[in-house]
Amino acid sequence: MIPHSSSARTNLVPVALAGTLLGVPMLLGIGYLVAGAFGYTGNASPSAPGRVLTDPQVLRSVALSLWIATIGTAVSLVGALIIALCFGGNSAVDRFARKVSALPLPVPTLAAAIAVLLLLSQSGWVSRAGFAMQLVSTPAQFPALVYDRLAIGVIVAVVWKELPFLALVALSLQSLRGVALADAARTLGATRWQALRTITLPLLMRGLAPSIVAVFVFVFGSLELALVLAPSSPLAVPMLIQERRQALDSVAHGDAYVIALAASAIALLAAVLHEALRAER
Amino acid sequence: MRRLPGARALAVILLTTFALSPLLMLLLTSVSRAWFYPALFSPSYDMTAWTALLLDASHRTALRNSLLLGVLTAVASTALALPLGRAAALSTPLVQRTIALLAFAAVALPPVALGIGLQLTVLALGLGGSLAGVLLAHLVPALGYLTLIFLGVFLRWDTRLDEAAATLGAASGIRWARVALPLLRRPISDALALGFLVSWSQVALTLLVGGGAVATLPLDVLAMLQAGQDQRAAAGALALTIPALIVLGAARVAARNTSVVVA
Repeated sequence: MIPHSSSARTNLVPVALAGTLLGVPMLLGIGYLVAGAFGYTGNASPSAPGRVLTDPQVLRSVALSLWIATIGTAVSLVGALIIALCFGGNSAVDRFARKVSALPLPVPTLAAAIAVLLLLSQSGWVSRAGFAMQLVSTPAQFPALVYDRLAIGVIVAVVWKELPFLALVALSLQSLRGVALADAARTLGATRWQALRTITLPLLMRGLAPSIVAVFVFVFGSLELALVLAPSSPLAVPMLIQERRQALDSVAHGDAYVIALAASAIALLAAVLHEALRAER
Repeated sequence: MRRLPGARALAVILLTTFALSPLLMLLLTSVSRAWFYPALFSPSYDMTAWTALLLDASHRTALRNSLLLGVLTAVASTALALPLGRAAALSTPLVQRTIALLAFAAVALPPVALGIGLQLTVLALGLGGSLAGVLLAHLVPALGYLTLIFLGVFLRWDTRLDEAAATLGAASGIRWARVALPLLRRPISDALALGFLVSWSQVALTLLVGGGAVATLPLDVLAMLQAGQDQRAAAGALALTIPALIVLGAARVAARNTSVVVA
């Protein structure tokens, strides 16, 4: 481990480097959003943040994106915990299950979204399987699982992509801390359920907390998932920003900057929460 | 957990189906021909979509741009993140946390929001709609990811080998080349792989900063999907996936071939 120093020079170098390489591009980006929101740049007319952020269409979009991110993250988390608890051992079956569950990890989000579209659309493979089993006789009889109001297709794609990431973190936490402490509790007389409820799960949840925040915020801002699978009314937040940005109306441009600023604020809050949870871990 | 062989077998089957079926769907669609509802499987298969993807001039330009952007992003972001991560690890915990926060923010900002701001920045620099402008935009999230990686690596860094080399009279350049770099082979190969993948799969930043003038494979795939060319879109989606698997596999091989591993 590198011993850290509190000297001014030692701190100056990383601060200057980080400020230049990471801070400047983000500040410029956010600065332009602020300028655009007030009509100073980007072919935008000044926008009233109060009006935009209370616009029912914007609120429905935010609710949809929060729904997708919350449910997608929650289902991925439950799946990841089940994998960590069921397949954390050293048997060949455990190793196989861990490898298989990690397969979607490197798949780009766009590819995942297209695959889910081909599987779950009304003329997709699952619908065809339904036809073969005489459950439906036309595509229209198959329930809408993509472009649907509940965004089920988006959530399935989120779970397929993010469950492996959370499972990987959970398995690593389980192997580092969970097993030994749970075994100690069992030796001291705790039942299997008590050890799981009071030791293993709290440890996993505490270790997983920063990753949960990360998944939530990535899903909230994902354009690819919304483009391929999300409903057109209401639009997910990234699509709403794009729609207003591409409109011919300069007021809509200003609105796009305000919505983008609000989405950035949510992401920055998540970044602060992520760092706080990571430090606590 | 109590072992229930039947339940575990069922769980493994479900897990395998869940993980593989989307990939199989892409593969089947990419080689299908005249596969209409309600046929469960395509009546015939061919490689038309793959041939078009690899031979059409427009797709080849997109593929070349994606590869170029991926390689340049990987190299530049690794070269910048390594010293940043090291300098951060040397500083006080408060500075470390601030830098980690900045790095995560670069990753967490919605690409559409970040892209709009960066688009105006890149336009002001006279790089709008150019490969160089898109590269600058891809560097922002890539640098965020890799800074977090190298900060983690250097927080666990064991300085004793470096100190021993210094005691034996090795100059700092020699210590860097002979001691630090071999130890860093695995994190560097991981960072190169991740930097490549961040750029390789980027949609929103390319779309906004490239302004439609910079063709990349993800944008091409999206255009094919929106045009209803499912076979080509599936082939493109797999083409996006294969290098991701290869790059991560190569990073693992490089790591295995490294005798001393830091992280």
